[in-house]
Amino acid sequence: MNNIALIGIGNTFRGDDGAGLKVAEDLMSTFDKKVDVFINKGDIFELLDIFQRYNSVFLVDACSGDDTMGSWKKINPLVDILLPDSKQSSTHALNINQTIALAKSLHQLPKRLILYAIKGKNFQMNTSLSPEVREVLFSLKETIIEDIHSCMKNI
Amino acid sequence: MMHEKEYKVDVGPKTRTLHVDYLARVEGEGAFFVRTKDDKVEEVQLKIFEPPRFFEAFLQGRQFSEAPDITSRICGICPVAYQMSAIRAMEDALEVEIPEYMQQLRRLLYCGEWIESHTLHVYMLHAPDFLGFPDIVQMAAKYPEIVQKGLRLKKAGNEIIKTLGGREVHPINAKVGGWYSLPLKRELEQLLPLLEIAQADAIETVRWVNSFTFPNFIKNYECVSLSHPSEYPITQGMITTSSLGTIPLSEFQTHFEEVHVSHSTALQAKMKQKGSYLTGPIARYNLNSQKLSPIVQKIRREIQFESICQNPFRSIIVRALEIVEACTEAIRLINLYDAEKLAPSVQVQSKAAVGYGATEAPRGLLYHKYTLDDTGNIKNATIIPPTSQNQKAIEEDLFEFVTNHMTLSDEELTYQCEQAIRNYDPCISCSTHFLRLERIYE
Repeated sequence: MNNIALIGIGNTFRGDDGAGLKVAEDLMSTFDKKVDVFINKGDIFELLDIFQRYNSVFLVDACSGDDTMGSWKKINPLVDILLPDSKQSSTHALNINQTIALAKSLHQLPKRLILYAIKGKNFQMNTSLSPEVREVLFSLKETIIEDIHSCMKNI
Repeated sequence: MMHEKEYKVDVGPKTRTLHVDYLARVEGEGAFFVRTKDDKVEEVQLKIFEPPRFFEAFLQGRQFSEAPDITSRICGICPVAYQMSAIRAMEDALEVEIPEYMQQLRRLLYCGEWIESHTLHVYMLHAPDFLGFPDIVQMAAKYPEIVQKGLRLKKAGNEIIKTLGGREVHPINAKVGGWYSLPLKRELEQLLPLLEIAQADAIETVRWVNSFTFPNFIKNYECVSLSHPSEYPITQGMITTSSLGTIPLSEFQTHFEEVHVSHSTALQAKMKQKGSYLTGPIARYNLNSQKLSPIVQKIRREIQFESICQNPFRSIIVRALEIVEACTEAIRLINLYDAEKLAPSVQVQSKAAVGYGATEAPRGLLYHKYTLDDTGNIKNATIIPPTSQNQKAIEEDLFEFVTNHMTLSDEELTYQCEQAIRNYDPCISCSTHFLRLERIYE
């Protein structure tokens, strides 16, 4: 098992909510098997499990907010205040903010946690990624690759 | 999870209105409304506004073999229940008998679902009520080790489903006639250490929830569940009720009917000539507690929990006991398993027929009925989930609860009403799978 995990979170059937999954799928073979890449469709228990097992975790998820649609932000949840996010895949689950808060309460956070939050435009059922989000995925993936390589050097 | 509340006290005749627009910590979208006047409850409504999903309609024309995988999509929390009820109904229609080892694997898969679903409800949705927390995140800040126990338990349930079903959500290995493939003995045995810890955690869960303070609320329910001569009912049995005794599955709709009420997108069920009834853990327990395993009987006696439960707030104890039962049963079934070299399924031939199936979802009796044509296509489907069946009972509980607690403040009364709804662990997503649409042209 590796020390680094990359997790794409979302729902491919809900427009830009699939952005995190798309990034993870695209980067699946990028790191020469030195990084474990996960596709997570809202299973918070899997997230909590991964947080506990890995030193460094990189999360990619779509969000809604006041920023320009199609932009993305890099957040360190261990330090930064998370963007407000009421997006929830199920009323039986928690959203990413709550999951991280729960992991913190349980002392289950990894040593390093980075969240790439992609500001989505459209979360309608049975739609695909919006052009605005598609356009920024390349630069986001480049940044994630750079960050993970930097992390690998420091381990 | 956010919800809005409105407390309104009118001048003039003493009227109180409690109105929660969006219930928290239940699966799906629902609300409730209570109106009282001059210290009498006038109206109670459990409003379900989640959009209807038309599963029974789009099953028509599909092959019988597709029903388990299509119906499992009704719910992400209890997909196994839908698969099993569909499979049982199709096998009833097509006169399919499966050997005992296949039946035991179905029970094992279902144990996985009981463990994960009940645990999720106990720890994430219901326990916070009793401890005064708005959600599990706040509860975890004060009781991290207890929440860790819940997470371990849920993982154990998920691992059973993943190992035997192929994946944790919407498992794919069960089919009409048996299984697509059988697990290796060692694959199941790898689960044993996890399950032994889970069993111990489950016993601790019983002791923990038994320490909660419960509102005083007693009701003599008409209980409805499956019963079986030799096992605590999960995957098979006859329908049993408090007043009518045992009923064949084929006669379910002779005694029970679904009705559409204007304030809900989910159909409500009632027992003809009797009215509301209760299905779920309390009903199962009250009708079958003598069939629970010796380990569960022992912990039940330790906490001095009676063999009949009439307080819906204590349903959390019954769920915890059922988690112990499911862990115990899973361990027993894994130790029994010795069939990896045998055939995974039996032959199934299409024919025109009607079939009935019912299993015990974590939330209660889940009934399926299918009519097939001679090519095996579904002509008609009827699916009656437990949450639909319990709606009337929930409303009556609220009516009675409010009547007996009128001296509480609006805020406290609203909170306890929400808790009363959560006693049932309602799965609103399941209950809105069907709506009859009547269009009038003028």
